[in-house]
Amino acid sequence: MNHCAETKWIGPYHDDDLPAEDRVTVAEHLDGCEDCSRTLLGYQSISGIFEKADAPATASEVEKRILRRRIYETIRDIEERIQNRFAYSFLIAAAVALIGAFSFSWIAVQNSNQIVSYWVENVVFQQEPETLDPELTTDTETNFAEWMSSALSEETPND
Amino acid sequence: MTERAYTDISDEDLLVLTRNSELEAFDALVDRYLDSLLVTVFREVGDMTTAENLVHNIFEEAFQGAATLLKQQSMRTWLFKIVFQHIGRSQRINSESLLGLEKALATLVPEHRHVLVLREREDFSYEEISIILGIPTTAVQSALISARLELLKHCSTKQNQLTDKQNSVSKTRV
Repeated sequence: MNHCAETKWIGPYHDDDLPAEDRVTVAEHLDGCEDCSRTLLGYQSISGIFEKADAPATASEVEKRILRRRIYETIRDIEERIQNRFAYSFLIAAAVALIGAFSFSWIAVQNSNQIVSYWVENVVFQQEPETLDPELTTDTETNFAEWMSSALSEETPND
Repeated sequence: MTERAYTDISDEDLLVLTRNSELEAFDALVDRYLDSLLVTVFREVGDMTTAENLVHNIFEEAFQGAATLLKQQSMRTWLFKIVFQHIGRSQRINSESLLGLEKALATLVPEHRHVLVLREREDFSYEEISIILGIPTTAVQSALISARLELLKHCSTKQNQLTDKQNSVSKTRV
């Protein structure tokens, strides 16, 4: 059992996971500490066991080929699903846009009379006089005056 | 692109090609890692059918997550992270089929075994192990110390048993 306080640095030293200056410090410590040197030997023997040990026999070549095939098919299925999802989303968006455009056109046609009269009443005749074309305004007034006078003149014989 | 050409491409570039829907690039990654993942998973679950199913699921998850993997992450570290997430979800079933070192490793606490195998067998750095297992680097360091001491203890116990056995055999012969 190693009771040395520096023992925690032996692992990183063995695994080469220490900065260069710390490596030097640990190496110096190892020269004078028998416990830590023994710990390092133990770690080295474990690494040796791992190096010598063969990988366990897993699947045969045929089984690996079958597994590869399974993975390939799964991946192609996923890709196909992603592409189908994209295509469906595009179709749905196009259908919604088409329905929207059709509905708007239908409403516009159905309400064209109301829309025109609303526009004339609320937009044309609600404008300030200055903003109207002065010539047009004069013409309209003249025409109205002419119409009135002719209407009156037509009514005069009856009186 | 031919299959031969993929062998010269780095993991990260294969992943970029995979993101661009070049599925053969992912097939090349599967070929590159299938054996080592099978061995790693088999060591943990001790059963070939379970290991094959887990490896299948690991590659499936890797393919689906390929788009989210950051450029600076190592493909190998990321794959092993998925492996240990899957191993964590599955129970160790059968250690009887394991021999020698594998059997000795089976006696360790799972966390200690994972850290030791990733360090000694896969040669990952402390930093990479901490990413794979989702634990701090200091925890990796202390788990490694514990794992090595446990394994040394196990080996010396086995050695003592063997020596006792040999002594008793030689005594009976005398």
